Amino acid sequence: MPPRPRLRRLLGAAGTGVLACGLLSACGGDDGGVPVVNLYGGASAAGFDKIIADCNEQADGKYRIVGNLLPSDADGQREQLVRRLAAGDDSLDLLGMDVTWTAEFAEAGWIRELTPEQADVATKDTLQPTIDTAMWEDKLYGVPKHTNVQLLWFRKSLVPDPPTTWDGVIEQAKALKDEDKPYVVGITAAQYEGYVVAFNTILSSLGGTLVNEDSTEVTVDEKTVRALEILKGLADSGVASASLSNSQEPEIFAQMQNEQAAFIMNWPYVLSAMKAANEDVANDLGYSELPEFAEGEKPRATLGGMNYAVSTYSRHPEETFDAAMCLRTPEHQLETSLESGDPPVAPSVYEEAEFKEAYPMGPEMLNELETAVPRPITPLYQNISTIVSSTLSPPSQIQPEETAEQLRSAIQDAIDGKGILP
Amino acid sequence: MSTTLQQPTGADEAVEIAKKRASEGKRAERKLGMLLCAPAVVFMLAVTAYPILYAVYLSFFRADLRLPGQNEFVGFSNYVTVLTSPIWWTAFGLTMFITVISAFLELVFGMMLAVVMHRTLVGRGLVRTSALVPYAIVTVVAAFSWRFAWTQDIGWLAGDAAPLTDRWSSIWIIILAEVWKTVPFMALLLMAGLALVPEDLLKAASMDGATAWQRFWKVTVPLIKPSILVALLFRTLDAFRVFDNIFVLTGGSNDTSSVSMVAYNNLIRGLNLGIGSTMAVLIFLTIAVIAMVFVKLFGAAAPGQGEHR
Repeated sequence: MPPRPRLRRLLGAAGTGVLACGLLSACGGDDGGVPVVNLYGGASAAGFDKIIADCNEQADGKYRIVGNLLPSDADGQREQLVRRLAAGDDSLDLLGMDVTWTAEFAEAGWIRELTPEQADVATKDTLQPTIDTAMWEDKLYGVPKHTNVQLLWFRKSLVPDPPTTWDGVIEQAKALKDEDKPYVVGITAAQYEGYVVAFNTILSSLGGTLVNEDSTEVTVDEKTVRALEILKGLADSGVASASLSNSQEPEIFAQMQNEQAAFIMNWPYVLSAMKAANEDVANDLGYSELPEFAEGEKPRATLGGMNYAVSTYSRHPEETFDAAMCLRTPEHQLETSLESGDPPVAPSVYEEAEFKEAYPMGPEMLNELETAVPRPITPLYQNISTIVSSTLSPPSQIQPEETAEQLRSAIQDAIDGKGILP
Repeated sequence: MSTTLQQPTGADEAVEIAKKRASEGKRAERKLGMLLCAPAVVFMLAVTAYPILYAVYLSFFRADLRLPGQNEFVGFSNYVTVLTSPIWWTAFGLTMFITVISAFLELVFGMMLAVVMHRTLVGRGLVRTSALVPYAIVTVVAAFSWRFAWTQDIGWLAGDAAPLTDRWSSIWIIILAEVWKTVPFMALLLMAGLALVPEDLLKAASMDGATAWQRFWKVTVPLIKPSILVALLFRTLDAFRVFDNIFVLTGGSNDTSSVSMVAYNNLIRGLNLGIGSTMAVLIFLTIAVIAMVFVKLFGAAAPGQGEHR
């Protein structure tokens, strides 16, 4: 179409800068030239707005981080992110991802691989196992932000001599039961993600896995059977709670709080939460590393936590990476661990006096973190997690050999593209 | 006819011309009608036919957004996968159960409510308006109210039990929420039918000594059968697609997923477009079969098809 001189003249006469900017999309950047880094995930954690403000100040006009809200549950968060990423939404820049999403997002091409220089910076002063959660097929896709591991919590007055093996835990609990004292052993065994964490801890401690490294084959074997025997053993031992099959973190916490439980496997938040919930129990609360599930083998705790990744569709990838690095400097990690209870990924923070005061169990956590393991790293994690939690529910119905076989065929189906989510 | 007899030739021609004109007029009118409809038809094709066909197309592919490199044509393999999956059949059975039970309860309570609304003499407006309140509330909002009401220690209905953590109690709560919500809709449709029953017939039956019960079964019900069938058809189709109540009340835990929930989980949560579309197509086919059964077997007529009096 030929240009219309009259219209152009009109525009020229009336055209203010604002109007021109409205017409020409390339004009300026967002917000007057300062690139906006849209953060999704973890932005609403307690005290995090302070950290964002701090980084924005340090950035000094290089970028401006805007924290956006996501649903409060992990499934809802993932759902929104994948829906928008699958549609190529460029208004997402920095993604706060659950550690289990890396492979899926990377395989789908939604997050950027870190450049070698970036990888160098991102892995400095960072615990290796947490870095492993951000890897897929030997490439680094994320920056570990915070982490988490479960501990074994117990009542000091009931357990003067804390057991170091799982069999020891069960034995002591049985003895307590015979003495009519609180005896319950609490683990998260409801049909949900937490059950997968518990199972993964047991299986990994025995040296087992569910899928091979590039997620092309299922690796269910006799170690899986042994892990199932341990779960079944707990359910049949008489020292599990009657509501074992309904137990999520709040339930096992309540079992401890209500003085039913002698032992629970739960996250570090238990200490501060118990001080608020039941002072007496809190004062009597002991903790140790998780017990050995195979005698003589160091237990391998399952990692929780969050990684930062840069969206493929982000228009400011460099700024976004810088923003991520700022949000997780050791100082900010310390702040996060104190404000919202998210344990740091930098070993140096575990030496800080402030941290030691808030986390007396810091050394135990650090010990566990050094050998901790991710959950199965696979793009099909959603399927595998669902398969594990539904096949193993309820724990009392586990038939080790048969259940392992069911696991194998269901996971194989998922790998073959025949996986159905319930 | 009489004109033809009196003026054989000329009149015939005149009639022919008049007929032609009339049919030309009709044709023009129909053409205009078509033209006026066209935008709506194009729009409907774009927003319904295209997605339906696209879903059918996708159902023949291994299409997983998580594994974009592995997309390929797999024929009916997705259908085999879904139709041999216990997850699908559990959901299908549950959906059928919810559909049948809730449609039945809605019909019974809807009829009762319709009769009450129809017969009310005082405060007619008030009765009808208040009866419609549940239907006016957004389903998700109502579902949340039910969920909180049945939540342990919080809800006034739950006490210290946790009925939403058990499969069967959850299912009955889902049915309750469905029934509570759609009884007014059912009642409205049935009331429209009741308004068509001539008072004279009822009076005549009464004169002949029929009791109220007999009058209802022998006079009213046969007369409003078309309304009942249409109402049942609508409700069955709706109930089979039940989603929001389950999504909010249980999220599908403890095997309480309906087929729509399972399809949603595979499409949106799992990003498995192949399997998810297969399920969507199967739901579509099931609904088509249900509608056909109603229309062919029971002779239900869609409104405007002339069976209504």
